Amino acid sequence: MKAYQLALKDMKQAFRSLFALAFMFLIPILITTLFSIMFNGGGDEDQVEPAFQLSVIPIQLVNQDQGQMGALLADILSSEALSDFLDVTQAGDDVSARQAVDQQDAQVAVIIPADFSAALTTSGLQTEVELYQDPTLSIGPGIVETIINQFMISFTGSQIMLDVADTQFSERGVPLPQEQVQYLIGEYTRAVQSMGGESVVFSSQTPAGDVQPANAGMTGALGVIMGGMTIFYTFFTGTYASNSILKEEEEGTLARLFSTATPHTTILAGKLLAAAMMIAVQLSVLLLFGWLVFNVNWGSLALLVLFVLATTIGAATFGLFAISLAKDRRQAGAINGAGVTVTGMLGMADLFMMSSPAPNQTLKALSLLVPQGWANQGLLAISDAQPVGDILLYLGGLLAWSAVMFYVGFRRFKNRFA
Amino acid sequence: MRILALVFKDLKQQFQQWQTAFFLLIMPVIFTVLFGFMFGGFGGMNGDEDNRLPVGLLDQDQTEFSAAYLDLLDLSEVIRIEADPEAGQASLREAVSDGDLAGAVFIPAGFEQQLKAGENPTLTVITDEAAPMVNISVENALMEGYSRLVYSVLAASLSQQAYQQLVEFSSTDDSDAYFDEGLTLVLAAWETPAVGTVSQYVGAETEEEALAMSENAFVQTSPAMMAQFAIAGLIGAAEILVSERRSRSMARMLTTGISRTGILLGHYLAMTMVIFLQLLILAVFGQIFLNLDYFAQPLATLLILVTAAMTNGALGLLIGAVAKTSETVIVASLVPMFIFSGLGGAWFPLEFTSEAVQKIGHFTHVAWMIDGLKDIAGRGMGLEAAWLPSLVMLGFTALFFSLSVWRFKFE
Repeated sequence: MKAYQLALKDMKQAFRSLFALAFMFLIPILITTLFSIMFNGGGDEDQVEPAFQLSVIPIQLVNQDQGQMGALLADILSSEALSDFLDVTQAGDDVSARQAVDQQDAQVAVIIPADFSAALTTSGLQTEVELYQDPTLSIGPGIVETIINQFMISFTGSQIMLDVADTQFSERGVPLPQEQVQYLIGEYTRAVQSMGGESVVFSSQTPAGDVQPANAGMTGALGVIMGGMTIFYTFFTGTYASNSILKEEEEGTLARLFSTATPHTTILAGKLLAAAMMIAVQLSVLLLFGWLVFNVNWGSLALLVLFVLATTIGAATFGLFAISLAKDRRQAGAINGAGVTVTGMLGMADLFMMSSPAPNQTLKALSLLVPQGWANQGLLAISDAQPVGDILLYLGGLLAWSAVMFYVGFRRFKNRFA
Repeated sequence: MRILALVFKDLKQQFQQWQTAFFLLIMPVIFTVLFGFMFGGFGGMNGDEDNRLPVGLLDQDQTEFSAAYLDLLDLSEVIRIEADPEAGQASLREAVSDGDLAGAVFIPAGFEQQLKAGENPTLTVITDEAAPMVNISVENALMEGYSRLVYSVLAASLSQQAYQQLVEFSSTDDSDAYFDEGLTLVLAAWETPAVGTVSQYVGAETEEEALAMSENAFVQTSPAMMAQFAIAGLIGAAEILVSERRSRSMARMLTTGISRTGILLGHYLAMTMVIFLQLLILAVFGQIFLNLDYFAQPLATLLILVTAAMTNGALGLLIGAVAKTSETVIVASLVPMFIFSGLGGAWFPLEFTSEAVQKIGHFTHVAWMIDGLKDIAGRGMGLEAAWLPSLVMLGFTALFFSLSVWRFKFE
């Protein structure tokens, strides 16, 4: 009962502090909102925006080919259909095109070589379209390359077809007449034009089996950001709440408390309970906010309750442990700043790796070196509807961390106040 | 002279604490290396190691066509197929969810039949919605392979039809054999296509240089972490201001010969020097260990580092001006760190966002600092790339400094 009263007093104090409220609620919400605007372009809820909305890619186009195929590729790249992705400027020569990329007026210069048509119509010839690009950019040049490759596959396919037909006809002692060549090209072109795009071919699903909505990356990415931020700041709350032990020690109120009949362990338990209560409120509010405002699907409610419980224990014991390492509030400030930031950033490695087209899974596992990583993986597993066994493993890992941190933190404080 | 004494006092006070080195150097080094390797390190996706994205496969058709699709996917530089005959839909979905696979593709039964009939079979692609960039890469690579297969079938089929128009096949088997032969020839031809693409990079003189520049993930993470931790490094410096104010040392200082301006300048210079030293060491670290040629253009690099240090120093002064307690120093440092870093492109390259957001991002000094350093280390540029970011950062310096002078209280 005494522990509960102490906890209630600490909690009341915390909720009166602007600093605590800012850290607990305002900053995680602010940062998630910021990323929502960044990746959604601030579009309204009904507007279906593509994930990671990109700006139109400025490209310089140089067609050194005098033949039909070069002109066709140039027309395709400059077509209305691609104008949402590409802003094409026809350059007079490759020097001025390269210069535009050098001066960052364009992301890529596409240089169609003089023998482009010849390579596509003459057997045995090979050539390359040059993409002169900015090495510090990846997505824009990558998109341009993908678009060009798609078209070149269809061009190359026609050339391969003619070569193969010629080989097969020759092997059977039949010459390939010009009319048949025309027939082949005509039919091939007609078939290519009637083909559907990626959306016709692929049924994109989430691991849980749901259809990936048009803005799947947005909702999913926001879930990762909001989840990461929530966990990051609950661990801050853990250290902030435990900081009150040092505050009371420095202000002399702890000594007065010790002079009463209340055992030391009850006082420490009260401090830990205060931290846990604050964290539980913070977690619940932030998860609810993510669900209501950002439409984040956190997954099964029952598992989410388990997550809140485990993370509350994890963050509270983390705070106790971290603050037990500090001699005074000045040191605790450094621990709050450095320790929580480092472990928190490591724990939300998923967030930083979202923009990587080839994330390193082995290094990603390093996030499990800190308790925040277990909490983060647990939340992601619940949102992804992973098997309950896996989720319990992550939450169990977090509780194991909590047991160690509680043991060390509690002992250190007990010895200190003995 | 008195100002210098104050500077030395501040520097001594900061460097006496182990936390300073931890915040200023160890943390940014750890995160630069960690995130750099997470993004592919030096090798990107084409290094010695096979860093292609692993994609699981469930072949429910088990025909020559589905096998041909696998062969074509094998040509991809982006994905590698991990075909496990034991894997089922559930285990593949789980592997994607766990992050063991970047994606999974299910080839439906009837795949061959539909393609032969000129129809588009629907392939189920499983990707994690929380990894949008990976999804784009995986789907593009799968589509590239699929297009090659479709065009191959089309080419073999048209060759068969063209031949049949001239010569009647003796039997269905004969016709099928002709088609199969054609398909085999077309599929083999994709290994040496008549046209391809070749990438050249700004600032690269040799092919090796081009490859190294394009695939060095540290080009993004090194400037990004330098920018982020330059702000984090202000916590210690700003705390000195707060503790001097709270302990009334600052008020006592005013009774000596040093002016208010002198006190502000002294603290500002100390902060600027600390951040400059931090940035310089991190740039040297990048030069030596991360293959980033910051010092190919030493003047340009120094210009960026000096102006970035000046901006962050002024920001530190502002934090010290608005913060009243040690706790608020942390909030006042970490909030701008997260907001400026996020908006400025330290967490996600700004090229991933819309033009409007890119413009908003450039209302932070972080974006300009990253731009300048990336241009130097990633694009081999010099002063022509450094002057504008430096000028803008000087503008931020003036803004932060003015605000801190306005808000500063000595008692």
